[in-house]
Amino acid sequence: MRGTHREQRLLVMPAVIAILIIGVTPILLQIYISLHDYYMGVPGQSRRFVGMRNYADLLRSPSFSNSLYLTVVFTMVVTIASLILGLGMAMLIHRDFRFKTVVITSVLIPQTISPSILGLIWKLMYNAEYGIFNYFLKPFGLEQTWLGRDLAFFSTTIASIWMATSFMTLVCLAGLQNLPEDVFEAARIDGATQVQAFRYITLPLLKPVIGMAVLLQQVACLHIFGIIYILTGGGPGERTNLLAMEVYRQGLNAGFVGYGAAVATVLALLAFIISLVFIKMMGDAF
Amino acid sequence: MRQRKPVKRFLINLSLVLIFVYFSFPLFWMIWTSIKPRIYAYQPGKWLFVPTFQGYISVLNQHRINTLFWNSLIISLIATAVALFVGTLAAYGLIRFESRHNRKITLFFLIVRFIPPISLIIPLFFLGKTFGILDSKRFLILVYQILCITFTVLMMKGFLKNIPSAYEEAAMLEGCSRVKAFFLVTIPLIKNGLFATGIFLFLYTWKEFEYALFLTSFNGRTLPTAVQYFLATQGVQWNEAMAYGVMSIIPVLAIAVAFRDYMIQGLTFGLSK
Repeated sequence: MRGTHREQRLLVMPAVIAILIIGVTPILLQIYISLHDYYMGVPGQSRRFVGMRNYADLLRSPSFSNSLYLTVVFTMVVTIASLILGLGMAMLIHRDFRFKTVVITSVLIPQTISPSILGLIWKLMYNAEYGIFNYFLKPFGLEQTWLGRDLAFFSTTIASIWMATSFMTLVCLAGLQNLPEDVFEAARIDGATQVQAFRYITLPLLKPVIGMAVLLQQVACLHIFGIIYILTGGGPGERTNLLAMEVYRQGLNAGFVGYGAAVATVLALLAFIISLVFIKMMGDAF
Repeated sequence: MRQRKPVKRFLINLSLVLIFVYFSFPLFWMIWTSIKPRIYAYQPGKWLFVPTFQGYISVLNQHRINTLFWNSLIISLIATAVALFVGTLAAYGLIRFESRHNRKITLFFLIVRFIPPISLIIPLFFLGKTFGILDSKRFLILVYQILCITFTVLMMKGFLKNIPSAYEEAAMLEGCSRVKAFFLVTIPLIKNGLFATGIFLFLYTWKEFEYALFLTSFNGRTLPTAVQYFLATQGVQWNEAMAYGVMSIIPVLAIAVAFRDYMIQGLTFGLSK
């Protein structure tokens, strides 16, 4: 019993129209704003059309290229580190042991806490005077100013890896649970070692899942804002000024709305490119 | 054959303990600091002390935490319900009806889902201002639909795909309308999927920080934005800040413990069965 097109339109259109209004309108407005010279807080300021000038400024700005560079490094490091950690942890958890549910519930912890509160917790742990990391490192004379000039980027990356590992572990664990048992049985009978089984069976079978998880994590890295906003605010200087922070600093804080909109458009464009790769990889799954 | 070497077994158990510590230490440290008397919050080495709820009491007294809690709850519940309804209907329409536009529509939802929230805040701010709904619960609920509806469509499509249409068709041959067949036959078959999706949406809206921070100032404020009260210029009152943190995660932590598998399903895009 096939439905009619009219019925389908009634079902699908509310969602499509809602997303057009609340999702697509802002994108178009964003591009429109980015083509204008627009400062907030300057009275009598006319919003002059300047074409691509904001984008030209952005390409010349050392602050922007720094942000782009940091974002690329951050995304790569967080994705790769969390994948390795997550896959390893999933392999360890994917077996029968007594406190399995306790361990799996602990993996969920980073997902349940708001980025703003995670930022607070890590800020406390990183504190140079009374943070827990320096407390443990002090006896060895290894205290660090974790959020100072030299280490701020490293420290925010570590906190983000901690968050991302949770996602990667959950996805890899789900992928492992969906693998067919009998292949491993056959491999064991044929005398394959555990390393061989991992290299020649687990990895190839998990490849589609890992590919999906990597792309989703890359997008998630572009989304990260709250934890860095609380931890460093993009500083010291511009040491942790990822693109998301640059949008905030220029467009929302300093009031260069037109320029900020241009940075935001570039950020959205990066996410768009990743989603195209994602779509290509998923093929007919949609 | 079955007997493992004790050393290997010990190493595996040790790494499982380390995994547990890795993920739960920040949570432990937040709870631990929250029950410390104020002065000891600045002494990480103080392991012995009389626990106090002073931090909790002063948070509940001094700040608008109560209002923010109810704001968060109302916004999360309504946003979740709206998205579940609108999104599931759309997913159903995309699965049960063949049309050459279906793939395009799905990809459209996927692309919108991937846009970083921070890159939409400038235009959303102006739109909210133009329509006079900036700083309201309504506006935040509306803005959350960007992610909530797109997520629901993608997620529920996966669940609906596994339900054969034969049940509905049988009901419709018996004289049910499609609407009736959908609610009486299809919904009960996908209720686990609806539940998993709903938990994810609640979790997302409860934690959401960027939109709430920049698009509200007083009336529409939610719990995660209260972080600003504690980052005062004269330094952070850590036991209060951590007490606030603990209180704000209690609802979702309870959900995580009670409905762990559903939550994992949502977080892994339905990959986990």
